[in-house]
Amino acid sequence: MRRSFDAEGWRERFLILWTIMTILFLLLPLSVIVIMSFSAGQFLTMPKELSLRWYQEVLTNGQWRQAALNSLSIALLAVSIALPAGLGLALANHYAPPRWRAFVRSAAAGPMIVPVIVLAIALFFVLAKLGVVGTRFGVAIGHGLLVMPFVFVSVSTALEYFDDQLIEAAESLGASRSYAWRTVLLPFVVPAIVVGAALAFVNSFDEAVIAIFVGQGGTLTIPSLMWRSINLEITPSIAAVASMVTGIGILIQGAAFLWLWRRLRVSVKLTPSGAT
Amino acid sequence: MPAHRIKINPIVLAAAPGIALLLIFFAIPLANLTVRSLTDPEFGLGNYKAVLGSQTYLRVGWRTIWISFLAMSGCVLIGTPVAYAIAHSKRRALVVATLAVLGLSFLTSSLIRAFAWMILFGAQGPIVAILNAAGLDVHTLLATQVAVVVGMIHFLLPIYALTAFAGFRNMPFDLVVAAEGLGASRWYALRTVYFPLALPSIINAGSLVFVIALGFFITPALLGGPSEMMLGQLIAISISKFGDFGFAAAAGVLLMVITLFLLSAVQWVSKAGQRQ
Repeated sequence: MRRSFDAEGWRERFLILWTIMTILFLLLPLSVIVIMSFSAGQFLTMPKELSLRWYQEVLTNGQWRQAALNSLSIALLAVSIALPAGLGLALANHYAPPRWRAFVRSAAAGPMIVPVIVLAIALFFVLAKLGVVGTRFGVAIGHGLLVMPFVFVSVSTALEYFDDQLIEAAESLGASRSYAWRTVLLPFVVPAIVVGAALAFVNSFDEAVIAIFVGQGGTLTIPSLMWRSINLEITPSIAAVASMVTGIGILIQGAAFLWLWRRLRVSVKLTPSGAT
Repeated sequence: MPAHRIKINPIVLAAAPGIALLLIFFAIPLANLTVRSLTDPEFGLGNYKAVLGSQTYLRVGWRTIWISFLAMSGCVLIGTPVAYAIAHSKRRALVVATLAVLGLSFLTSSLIRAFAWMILFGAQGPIVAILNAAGLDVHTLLATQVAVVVGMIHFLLPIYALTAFAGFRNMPFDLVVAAEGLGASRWYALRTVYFPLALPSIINAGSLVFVIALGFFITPALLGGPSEMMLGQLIAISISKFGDFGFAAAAGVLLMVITLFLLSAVQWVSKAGQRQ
């Protein structure tokens, strides 16, 4: 008994150490970039003294500002394409007869499964015919397609926990179907919609491959301008942009998840007291 | 359930935007890509012969599979103990911190993460400095297979660990405890009871990251040299540098077919395993 307990302690300690090493491995590269972004010198090395020089440079640079504006409007447009599409498919997946579900699910996951580079060139050819290559609209279509599965997965997961008898109960109490959907189902899926939209937004904002191919030189987003700059000359300004983009992404997604978590806790707390 | 019959109309209505998006900007572009691979510049299998008939491009194909295999093996080796630890550990702080880091890394842009490794492995980077201090004469680690594989593992590890974790979490750990109660050592119980049950999750997560790795473009482009070129880069270069659209289309179709074939094979195998 004693021996097996000691053995377990030894093994568990090794597992914890292994997990912490993995966390460090995952965090290390970005931490280095964030530290380097505060350097004062011309080159991207560990700073001897901290300065905000490159942040100032980026924030006042017209090209980066234009790229930020492009990224922002493309991400908003992409979310407004992905949201109705993903939400509708999730609802269809939930209510469709079982034999249709496998089809809806694999169709909705399609953009995630096909390699992005293949999707990018396929879209490049078709969007070139439509004359929207190099425009914000073209990139937003590609991103809308690419990030739609985030909304779909998020909402379908929530719907799996939805009790359809609640709709029937509302209808038996005299509500019309659409009223029941609006007042019973919709509030239930709103958190999932918000999280899905947040993920979709950040993923469009961060996306590089479609932005490079469909945007070409005509519309530069932050990632595609970063791609260009890396291939031209590496300056600490790229590190400053990378730090800011990552920080904003973590803030948005973290806030969405935190909100979801708190909402779930509140609803879990309320349910028993509401039932009694 | 007669309710299903009445709901069919709203289902189609809800699915309409998503179906339209998938049809116009997913199905049609991919079909167009396939047609293009067979007709540009002339009808026939010429583009496929160009990809598969050239020693250089075949080598790119095999290298893509080999590098993806290395990256997948790295993920399995590093990620499996981590997924196991957070699936069964009682230490809440460790579990939450690990999940948070995995989730946030998963959501950080691939371009930014590849850029970070580019700096770390670069001539002025800290890793070269450490190796030099240790007496090794190294100028840069960029343009090596090691750099590409490490960068890819860094990108894929969160996906692997989170997918495996989702499977491990549902595992009956009580069985291991029961086996120990019957006199088995922890290691023997893990090997004979836990591992056979966990294998489908490991295979599932491993094949997922392998398939994602096959389509990589940004990471090998930034961390590898010409002799580490992968299929995704070949597609990108044949469009942006050579303007050989038919060739790019054929290479893209091949990449897509391999990806879909592998994914459905794994799914088929795991379903067959479940039926047993």
